Amino acid sequence: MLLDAVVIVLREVLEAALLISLLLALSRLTETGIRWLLVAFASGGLAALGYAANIAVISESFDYAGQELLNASLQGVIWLAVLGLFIFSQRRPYQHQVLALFMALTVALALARELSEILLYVQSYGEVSGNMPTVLAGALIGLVTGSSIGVLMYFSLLWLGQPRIISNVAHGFLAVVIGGILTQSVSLLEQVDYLPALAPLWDSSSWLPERSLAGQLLYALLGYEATPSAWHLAAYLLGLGSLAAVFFWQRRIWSCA
Amino acid sequence: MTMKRAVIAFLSWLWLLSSVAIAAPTVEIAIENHVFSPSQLSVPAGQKVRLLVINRDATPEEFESYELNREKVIAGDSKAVIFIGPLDAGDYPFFGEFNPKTAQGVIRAE
Repeated sequence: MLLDAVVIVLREVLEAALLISLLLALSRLTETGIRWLLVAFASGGLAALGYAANIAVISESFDYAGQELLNASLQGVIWLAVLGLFIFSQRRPYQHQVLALFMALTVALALARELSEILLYVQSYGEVSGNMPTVLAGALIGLVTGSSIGVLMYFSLLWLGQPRIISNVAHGFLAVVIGGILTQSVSLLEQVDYLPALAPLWDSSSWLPERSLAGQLLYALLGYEATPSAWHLAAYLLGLGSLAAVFFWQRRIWSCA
Repeated sequence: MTMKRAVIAFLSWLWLLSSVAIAAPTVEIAIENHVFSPSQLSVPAGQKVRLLVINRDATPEEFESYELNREKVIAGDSKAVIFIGPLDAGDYPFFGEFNPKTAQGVIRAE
């Protein structure tokens, strides 16, 4: 029970922790402060509560496709929010309110989905098992472990020293994380038959299983898929490519200015 | 006018074709006491299948399969639909993430 809770919470927290650490690094570089993060925690937490409380209704709506459509939409908006962030993240003087808005939106939407699953699990299994302390302890361990990976990422970025390098690396990681998030939405749309399923392009599960620790980390960080279809690849390239295009476009403008 | 007619004809053909494509066979699987029943099910290879998962427990479960790239939370006492395939012949394990010790199963495509 304890270990199950650790694994479930860790898996959900990992992606959000990485996103938050990358955004915090950019926030520091642009001197945007951290109030946006508090706003994101509050609104994301509330949205997660609402989502978890209505999960049955949401899932059975749209002919049983509601959960996937909602999650894929959240992920699509996360992509757009990060695109918006990339337009303003190198533009000087920094427009802090705009940057804060895009960062808060990104984190709030990521939390809405991921926290809702954790809440659902902890609430129902804590109650049913009559062993709420154990479930909570496991959740806490998962939360702390996932967050420490985020903290590690944050300080590794800062350790790079030069603001320009930190900025490049943070933007780069954000682009691959978003590529990964978009590949997840492809799986969701395939799952409800809104996209025709395509055969996997390759199978690297014997080399690097998705269920392994390294596989899980790479899944959260790079969107690793052991058996991706052409849809996955296209979504990944769309996320990565669109963000890279905006990044280099903005850099050209603002490094000459 | 002819343009409009052509569009209508095209759309009705699209609708017809898609409704044929949607007609995937449904396979039912239940969750009871944190166990999938049946825990082993066969589906035709090379064909899309509509998996109807009925959760009879009061607790939620998360249907998860790395091999199928599927992941879905199923609330307590509710139903969920998951489309899988077309699959190559072979075994595709799945599990319930909330109860990984007991909720284990395999889909065999043949």
